[in-house]
Amino acid sequence: MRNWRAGLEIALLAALAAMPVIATVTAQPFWLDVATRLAILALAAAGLNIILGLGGLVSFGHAAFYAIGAYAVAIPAHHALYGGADWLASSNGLFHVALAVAAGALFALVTGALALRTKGLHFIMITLAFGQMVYFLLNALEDYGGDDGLPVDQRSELPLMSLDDPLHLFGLSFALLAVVLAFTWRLKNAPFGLALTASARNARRMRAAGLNVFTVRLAAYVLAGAITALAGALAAEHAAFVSPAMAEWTRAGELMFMVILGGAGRVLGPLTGAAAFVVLEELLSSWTVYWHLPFGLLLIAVALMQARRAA
Amino acid sequence: MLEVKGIEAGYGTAQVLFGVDLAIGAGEAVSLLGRNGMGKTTTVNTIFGLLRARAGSIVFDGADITGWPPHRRARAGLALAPEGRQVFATMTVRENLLAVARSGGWTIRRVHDLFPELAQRADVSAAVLSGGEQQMLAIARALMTNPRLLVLDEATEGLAPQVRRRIWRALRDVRAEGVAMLIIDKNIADLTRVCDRHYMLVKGHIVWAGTSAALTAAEDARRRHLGL
Repeated sequence: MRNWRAGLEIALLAALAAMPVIATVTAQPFWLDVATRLAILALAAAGLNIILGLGGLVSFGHAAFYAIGAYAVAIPAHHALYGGADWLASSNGLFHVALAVAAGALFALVTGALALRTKGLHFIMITLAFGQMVYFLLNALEDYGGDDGLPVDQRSELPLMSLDDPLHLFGLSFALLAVVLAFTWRLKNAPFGLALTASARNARRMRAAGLNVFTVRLAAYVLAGAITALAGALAAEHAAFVSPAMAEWTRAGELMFMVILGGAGRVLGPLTGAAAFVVLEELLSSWTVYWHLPFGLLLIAVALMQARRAA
Repeated sequence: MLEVKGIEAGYGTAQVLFGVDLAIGAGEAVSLLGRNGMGKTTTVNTIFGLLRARAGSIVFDGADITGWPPHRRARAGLALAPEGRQVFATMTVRENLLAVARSGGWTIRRVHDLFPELAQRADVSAAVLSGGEQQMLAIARALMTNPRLLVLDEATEGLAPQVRRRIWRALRDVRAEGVAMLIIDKNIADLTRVCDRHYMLVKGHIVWAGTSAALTAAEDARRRHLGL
């Protein structure tokens, strides 16, 4: 069972890496587009995997970080093109990414410091509440399109690459995903990751062993927020459009679905989860516009099967 | 090194401890005796801050730790091998040890020397260990935090005599390294061999305290307070 799953994960990673070749040979640039979306979603889920998978904390507001990262690209780019807010205006991609990561980390630090004082259902509710706050805040930003969203009319400028080239954007997304997955693997096996996992099983025991459980969880939450914000920044480059819908709670649910389907806490889990999500979405929506119905039924089936295996 | 003075504690409206006093010197080994339900584990939980002391004070190494959170007490040098072992069943033996490790004299290699069984099973899930091996892991895990006072709550309960002897031998080795100990156990013969002094706890009060020689002689107190 274990080897079967690891094999699937490695095969997926290899297939994703080979996607530029496949898309070129088959002359189907569409596949590269799907692969880029997959890599970005996997990156967002990889962030959530640290707090949900390793830390066992059900953060239901994680889409907020995705949206924060996206707006951290769109807003400075908007001002660079149309003027205003000189202190923020920039078309420099490195600045955009730094801003996205910093904003994601800061929002995680502030909300995490409050939310992590609660646990269980209360933690789910309070993270959901913070997520909704971001959603409604973005809706209220009339200068940045409000609920219509904001187009990114000019993609960020990066040295040595052009994000308008789908191949470059895929390469960047895939490279960042690979780095984050490798980092997660290191983290999972480091004392920090072990302490985080052990706290999920028995926090009281870890406290008695001298661990400040709150601090460890907060650090993990900040890390998770920063990584998902990074994914949001890439999503803004990819779609050339940002909107409050990125912060919607259904998006947070989708990220949770990816983490859980891929296997919570598995290093490459977010990759399989995101792949399953993207493939199902493409497949089911090609059959029916009501694709959410079979998708939802499938979700229930997966949840029941996993619950049975866990029991 | 540890001085507990008049602590009172309990759960909800049920008070369990009514002014417990006990002291442990540096490098000393002390036992806490008592029948079930007398407050032994409650005393331990209060010392570790897992339960709030409603009155009294706990002083460790000259610092009043009564109001400290548990993790701070542990960092000051307290370690607990809890009743029921409570190993992390989803993690391997090595991961259990690494998750709590703090730098100091006790390293993975040193605890492997103490319990070679754990070295052999380093990459095995802690869930599949035998009860004795889990207990060894619980003690090794406590040592990985490099404590100056190790508290063992029923470390030999439910183990086969042979495994029990193995644990007691290891505890004597740990003791020889200068780690102070507070041991809760029911086996008086083994306790008198490892510990210097003993306390008897009855209904939340310390009713008897004395040396190993005194405990061996105090047949009456043993019968009355422990049923032995």
